[in-house]
Amino acid sequence: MNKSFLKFIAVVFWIVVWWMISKIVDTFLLPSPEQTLNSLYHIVTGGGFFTTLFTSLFRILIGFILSSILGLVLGILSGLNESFDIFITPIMAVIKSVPVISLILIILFWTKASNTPIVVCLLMCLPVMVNAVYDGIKNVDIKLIAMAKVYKLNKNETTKHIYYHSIKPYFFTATKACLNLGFRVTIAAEVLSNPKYGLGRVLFDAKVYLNIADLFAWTVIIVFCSYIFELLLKNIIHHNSVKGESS
Amino acid sequence: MSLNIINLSKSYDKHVVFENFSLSLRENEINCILGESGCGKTTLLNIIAQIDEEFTGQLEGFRNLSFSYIFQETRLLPWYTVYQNLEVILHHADDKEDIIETYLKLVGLIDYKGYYPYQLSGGMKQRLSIARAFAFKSDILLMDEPFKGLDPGLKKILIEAFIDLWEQDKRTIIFVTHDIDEALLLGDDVYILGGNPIRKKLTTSIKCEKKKRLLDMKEIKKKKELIYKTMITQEELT
Repeated sequence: MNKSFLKFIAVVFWIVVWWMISKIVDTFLLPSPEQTLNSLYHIVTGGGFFTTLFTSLFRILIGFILSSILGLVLGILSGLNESFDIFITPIMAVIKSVPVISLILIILFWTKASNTPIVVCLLMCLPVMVNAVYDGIKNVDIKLIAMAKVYKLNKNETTKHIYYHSIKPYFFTATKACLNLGFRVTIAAEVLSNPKYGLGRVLFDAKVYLNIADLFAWTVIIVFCSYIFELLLKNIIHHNSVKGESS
Repeated sequence: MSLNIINLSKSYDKHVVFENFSLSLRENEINCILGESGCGKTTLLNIIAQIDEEFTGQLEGFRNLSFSYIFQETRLLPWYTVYQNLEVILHHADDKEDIIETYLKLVGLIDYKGYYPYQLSGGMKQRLSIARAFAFKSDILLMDEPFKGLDPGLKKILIEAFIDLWEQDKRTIIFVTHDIDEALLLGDDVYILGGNPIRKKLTTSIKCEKKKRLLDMKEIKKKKELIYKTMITQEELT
């Protein structure tokens, strides 16, 4: 039996389990797969679906890209300069340990509701990125750096030929983790900040109107989008990796 | 003109490796430094290459010279192909394509130029490392036991490749090894490091000048005995 077929069987099995439980439990608490599918159809064909979806995806992407760029810069600086590392360590430690709910509420005081999810995504992903890039720099093979010194490679060439390739695997692993994290925290921030458009907003509305089928349908949409983005990122990473880099 | 190491002292924490050590090396020859494993041979090369700058003493004649280095481990860039590994160190050369092709041909890797290091055998990687060292136009080539741990057949091939390359430009070579046969085979001068820490008065030099690289068996036996005797005397004096 091949792997794809087994995966398909596993998915079918869990949908059947869901269907069976929905038959036992009150549909007010757990909608059946058919009800969810029905809601999904109405959501997609109804007005405002794409505005809601793309507004959230835009926020996730902006937060993710900003955290990647800033994380790369701060990670490189802290990896190469011990004083800078000591300087940013306390703020990174604070961001890492603050509960996401507190962070959302604090940011909501300072920015517009529509910008809060972006800032929260940026702040939650930033320490992950900084740590990854820092680790990449600290794990650069010093023997290769010595080789570069002997063969008179200047700082820029050493960065291009050695540091860049050493950091790449760490950075890519962090981007995968951050994309996932970005989806979760951005939507959580939308639920609490309640902007005009956004997946978090519709989840909140579904909860307020006790529409569990819609809640499940929107969740399916979010999981699907997250999966598609993960696949796209994997593809980008695959095309930017050289086989030798993993060795 | 000679290259002089004068009153070199070097220690790691409390472990003294060199104590007022001096040595004169000859240009355009293969200077072989013989010493047991762990005695400080690599440290000496790293000091000469200016990778290690924490020492006291003087390096006379080494200033402004360029180096290439055949390390014990190949130190190839795993993310670059055979061709790119040479291209990286030839960044300033105008005719780098020709240089790369020439040296890859000489070490028999021309058909592997698109391969990554992980696709090469240990011997092929070491040949690439040798090609890199020769392709880089340095004044001095440093070699840190590049043939260590290789099987005899492969070692012979690599030594022959090395001799062929050296015969072309006869640049100054400082070659460290613990293998007496290697030292006799390649060295014009063999310096036997002595003492613990290594000191000048216990370091002995033996001339092995040869018209042809390979000495005859009788000669090798004679020189070998001389080296053994020197080592025993050094041990007793230490």
